[in-house]
Amino acid sequence: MFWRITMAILVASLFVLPAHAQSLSGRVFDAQSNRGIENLEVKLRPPNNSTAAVLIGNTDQNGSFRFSQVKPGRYLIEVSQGPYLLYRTEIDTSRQGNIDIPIQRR
Amino acid sequence: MDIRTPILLMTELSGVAMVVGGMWLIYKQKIYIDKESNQPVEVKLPGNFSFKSNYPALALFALGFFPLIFPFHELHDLPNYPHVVTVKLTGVPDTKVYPALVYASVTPSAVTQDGDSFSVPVPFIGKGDQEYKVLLIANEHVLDSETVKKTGNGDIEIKFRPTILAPPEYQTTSTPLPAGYK
Repeated sequence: MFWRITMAILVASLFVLPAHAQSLSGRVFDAQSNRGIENLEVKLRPPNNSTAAVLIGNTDQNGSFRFSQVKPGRYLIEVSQGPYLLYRTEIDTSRQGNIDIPIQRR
Repeated sequence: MDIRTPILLMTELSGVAMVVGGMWLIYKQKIYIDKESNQPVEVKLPGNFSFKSNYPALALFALGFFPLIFPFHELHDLPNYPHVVTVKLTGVPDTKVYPALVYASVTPSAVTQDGDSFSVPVPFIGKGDQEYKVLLIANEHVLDSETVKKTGNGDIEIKFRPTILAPPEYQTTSTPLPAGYK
């Protein structure tokens, strides 16, 4: 009986532990050639009511980017080339740890 | 209500009281009149100075014109210099990029296409002793900045340098910010 109660408490505690920071990775690529696009700014912007940090990074030569220490929740992900905004969408990092971002050539 | 309006009203009332009071004092001869000469009493002071007893009433009458006229002059200019209460925006940014600058604008003006003008109302700052830094920002990138001082009473025209940007290689998006984001 004692062990059953102990196990039940341990299993239940898994659901009440605070959500851990996780990572979000992705790739920005040319929608036609499927080639990764480097040197684009990727910004992960939390909603107004969130205390999470704004995360900013750049794509590497493969078009890949990675943010670590991302608090789970909703974010706005934006991809820019200098002052030009190329992509903007909302994601939920508690459900999605990876995102592919196709960009159309002009 | 602008706090300066009641102050100017009080100034105006003080002026009226001084002028009317001065006239009343002179009319009622609330001054010491010499019974023999029927003239205001004159007091001789050392150093060849003299003081007549009607001087305070005359001075009250004359000085009263300043607070009487001053509010009319100021009320005329009041809309040009809105009353500003200064508050400080304070905080400690948590960023690893330094130096970082903090700017504040009440109402940024959006320019959506070539030829559009902008108009940003800002609180009055003293003539020539303080200045504004004006930023031209696109997608959070500062394209140009200008520093301006107030030199006259009119609007201040800002002339940004032309910005020549290489066109983007990829299609831009105009997806609006979803609700709940800034």
